[in-house]
Amino acid sequence: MNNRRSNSGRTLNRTQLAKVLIVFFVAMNFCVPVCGQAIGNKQLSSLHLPTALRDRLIERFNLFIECERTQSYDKQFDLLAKTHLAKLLHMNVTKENYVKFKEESEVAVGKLIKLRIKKIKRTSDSLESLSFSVIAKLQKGNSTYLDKPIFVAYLLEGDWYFSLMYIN
Amino acid sequence: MEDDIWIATATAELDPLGSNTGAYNPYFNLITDPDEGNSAMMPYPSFSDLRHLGMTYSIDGISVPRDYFISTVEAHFHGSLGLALLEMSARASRPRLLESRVYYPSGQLEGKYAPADVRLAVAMAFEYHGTLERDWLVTDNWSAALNILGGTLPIIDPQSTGFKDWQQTAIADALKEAKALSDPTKGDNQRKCNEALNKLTNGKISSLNSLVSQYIASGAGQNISDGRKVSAGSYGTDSPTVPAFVLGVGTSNATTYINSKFFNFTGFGAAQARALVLLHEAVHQFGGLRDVDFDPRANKEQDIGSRNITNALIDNCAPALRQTLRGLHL
Repeated sequence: MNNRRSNSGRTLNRTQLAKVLIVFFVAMNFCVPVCGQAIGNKQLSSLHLPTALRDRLIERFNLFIECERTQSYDKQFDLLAKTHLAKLLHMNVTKENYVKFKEESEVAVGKLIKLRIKKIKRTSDSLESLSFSVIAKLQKGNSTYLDKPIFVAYLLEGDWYFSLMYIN
Repeated sequence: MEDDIWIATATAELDPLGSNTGAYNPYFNLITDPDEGNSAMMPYPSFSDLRHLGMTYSIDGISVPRDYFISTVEAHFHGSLGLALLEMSARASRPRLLESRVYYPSGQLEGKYAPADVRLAVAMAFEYHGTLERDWLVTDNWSAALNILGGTLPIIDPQSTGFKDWQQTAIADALKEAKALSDPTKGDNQRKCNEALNKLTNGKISSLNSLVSQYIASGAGQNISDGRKVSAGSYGTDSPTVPAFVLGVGTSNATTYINSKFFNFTGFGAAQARALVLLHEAVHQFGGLRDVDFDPRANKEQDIGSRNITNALIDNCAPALRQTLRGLHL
């Protein structure tokens, strides 16, 4: 009898554990919709960044992507690598122009749902510029699709700035 | 500031394990080419020459026709001996692997590998069933030739170098060809081409001619890049499968970038191939539609959409170009 009770108890515990896990994963999906954007230590380790710069990169990267996801383009402007955008699109990059550009772009591109980082590498021998190999999941109308935009980070005057650009 | 880099390279082959099997011809001569003159029948600039198989020419990393290379070298050396010495040096020097590149079957770049990682590059190409490309530098130091001839390397800031004259001419010719191909007033074939994407877009792109006519290749309001190199990942300047691409689709700042592949079309149909590339990019640049908008399936893919546009253009504008444009990402 004791054995049976014990087995029954163990089965119950496993079921409970499974339920807890299911609830946990569902909660993860709803509460952290852009969890795929996180930069892992593995991706950063090969860059040999000083700890302070690495932490700052992670912090500002997450903020930049969050601004992209929530369409907070005026806030995103403060994290923008303005020279990169100005050079690629020959535009006068003011906050007003940038917000207009992003809003126009959103109509064609759709909204960012998730961004997965595949690889990060330096584009020069210095620490000054990083190229991210990313896959973006985008929603346009009722459908979603995957894209590989250009994503770069620049270290300017001790802080990181980013540029995200879609190609056709 | 950096030196302008001119490289005449001869190709060499590797065995599957990356060992050099050697392919250079140790026998060279200093016979100069017969004068081709400037007749109107002169062929379109070619990037290699039957008399110089395996030899390609580049300036600043951009492939250039042999004719252009010759004229540039001769301008600096005041004669044809400079070219002969450069080619001799290219053939005679020991091939050196500069870089390996692996491309997915889709044509997108998987990664670049240093010479020491050539085995890894081979393995990755096998794993992805992709394509492996290896860059060999045969002449890595021909400054001696320059010194012998008293020449100096021109110093040009890479940021300030745009398209060369012959490239600007090729773009202008392609634009002219694209407008002519899709001009509905010229006849039934052109009308068909003009409306190639009308059905596919439910009328959103009713006239290709009106789109491509908005291109301005130079001067005020220029919306085709001037040829300065930009960092654009696997789509960048030297991508072997991307002749052109557009950044900022759907915005008033959209810009079309022309890659070296655009200029590498040669032979019969080269001008039409370039025209079709511009017609395709005009859909993005001025039509505001992305490749993915042309994939009708639920799980959309950029590549499928891009191919649908290109196929519609080939079918309706230039069916003979199907083979020429196969495997390219427009």
